[in-house]
Amino acid sequence: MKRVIQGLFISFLFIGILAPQVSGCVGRILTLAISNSPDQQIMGAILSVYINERTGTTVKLTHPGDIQACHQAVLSGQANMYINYLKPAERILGLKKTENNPQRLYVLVSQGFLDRFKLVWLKPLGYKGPLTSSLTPGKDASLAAPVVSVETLRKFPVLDRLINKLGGRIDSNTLEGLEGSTKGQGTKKAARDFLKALRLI
Amino acid sequence: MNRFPYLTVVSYILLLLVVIPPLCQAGPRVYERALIKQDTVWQGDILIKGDVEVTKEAILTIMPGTVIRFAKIDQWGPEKLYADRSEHFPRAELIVKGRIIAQGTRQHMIIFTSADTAPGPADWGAINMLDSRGNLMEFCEFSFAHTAVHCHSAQVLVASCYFHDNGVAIGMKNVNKYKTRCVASILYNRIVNNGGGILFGNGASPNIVNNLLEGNKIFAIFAKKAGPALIRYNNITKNGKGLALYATPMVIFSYNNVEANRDYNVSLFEGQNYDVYAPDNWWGTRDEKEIRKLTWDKDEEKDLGRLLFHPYATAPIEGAGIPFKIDGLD
Repeated sequence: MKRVIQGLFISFLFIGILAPQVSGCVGRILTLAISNSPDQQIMGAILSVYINERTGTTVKLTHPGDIQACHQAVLSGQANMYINYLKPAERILGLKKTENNPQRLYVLVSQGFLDRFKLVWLKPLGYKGPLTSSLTPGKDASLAAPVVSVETLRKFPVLDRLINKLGGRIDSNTLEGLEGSTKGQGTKKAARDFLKALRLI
Repeated sequence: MNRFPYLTVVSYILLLLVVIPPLCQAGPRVYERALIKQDTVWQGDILIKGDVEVTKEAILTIMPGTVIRFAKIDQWGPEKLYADRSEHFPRAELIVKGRIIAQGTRQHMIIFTSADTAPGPADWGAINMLDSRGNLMEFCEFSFAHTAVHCHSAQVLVASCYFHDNGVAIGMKNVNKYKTRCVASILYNRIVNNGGGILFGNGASPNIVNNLLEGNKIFAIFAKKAGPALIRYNNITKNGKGLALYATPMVIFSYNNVEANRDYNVSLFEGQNYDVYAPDNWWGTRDEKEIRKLTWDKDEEKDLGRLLFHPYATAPIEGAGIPFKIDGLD
């Protein structure tokens, strides 16, 4: 796991240095808030490579803290997007009745987030999280999905269409394989190779 | 006899008058957060330590051989004239609302660069032309800028210039609040080893002809919601992407040598639903399958437009790239 973190640190450093060089006035920067769980680190790399390759938009990764902190970062406009999970989202909404059917819960949560926070839930990625450091789902694991502000989708009109192509394509086994790949070649290259293999870039 | 010492003294005085002024000007002329409100000529060494603006009524003329160095000031610090981030850059800029005429020669190019001892991209902002017409950059060298030549609703001829180690070499777009439409002719330039080469958007309409675009890390040319653009007779090689397009309805892309770009010679980005007219280019191969391998279009994503690359050249395009040698660059 240490290798993943090191690899990601180097990737973030690279993006951080390059971002001001290429953003310009015509280019734009999209800020993605991620927490420290292994799945968020890997998804941060995948999303940043994918969005940059297919839109030319530079993605800046930020680490405000846990999921709640990422949620607040997007609400306050400090970030454009983060990755949330259905169960923590259910708690954020304070739903009175617990819903155990993932599909129904997704509908409830996405509608609640849109109404209350003006945040849009994109398609679930496929895996359940957040993952622990041993890459196993925590006891309260549920489907993960990118969450984007309505304002961001207005500025980046193809973003939802693009990211939804990742929907359902990253399950727990895939994440485990990616974690293994990062040990050999670094996170950014692993993310790029993964997206190339899926013919997404 | 008596007149001889008198003539000698006068001669010495005249000699001192000739010699002393240049000695007094040995250091660079320094500008700190300044407005240039009347026609001005720059020559020799210029050091810019904050935003300098050529106001609407003024023309800045820069003589051949002039070296303009930009100090790496604090981002958005007190040396900035403007805080509007949509139109300005974090570090020192030469803002042009009047006109700039920077015309070097092959032997005496005008140099725009960083004053830092360990220079890097984005040490300074840009030659930032805002709602401005009649600008000329010829035989100039640009390095270590954020976006070396930048236009918001401005018109400029950029010819025979050398761009290297900038974030982006040339960037331009239209801005609704200005009446001027963004038109640029970009000819005979060597645009190498920058983050990006030429970036244009929001209806900007450049002619990009006879340039070398090589080794730019992210892209050589990126059109984003751009106006009609003519891109011909360029050598576009070893960049991240050769040509990238987003929501651009009309580009004429012909007679270019486009080969060996790392992440596709041409990439239609998500949202480029228009076809791209691109016949008669040399793609580095006669094998159509190989051409397709370095193209991302409708074959890869059904929502995208198609790269119309037939007929394609079966040998490198003669006369593409820079047609003559620029001294000191080879």
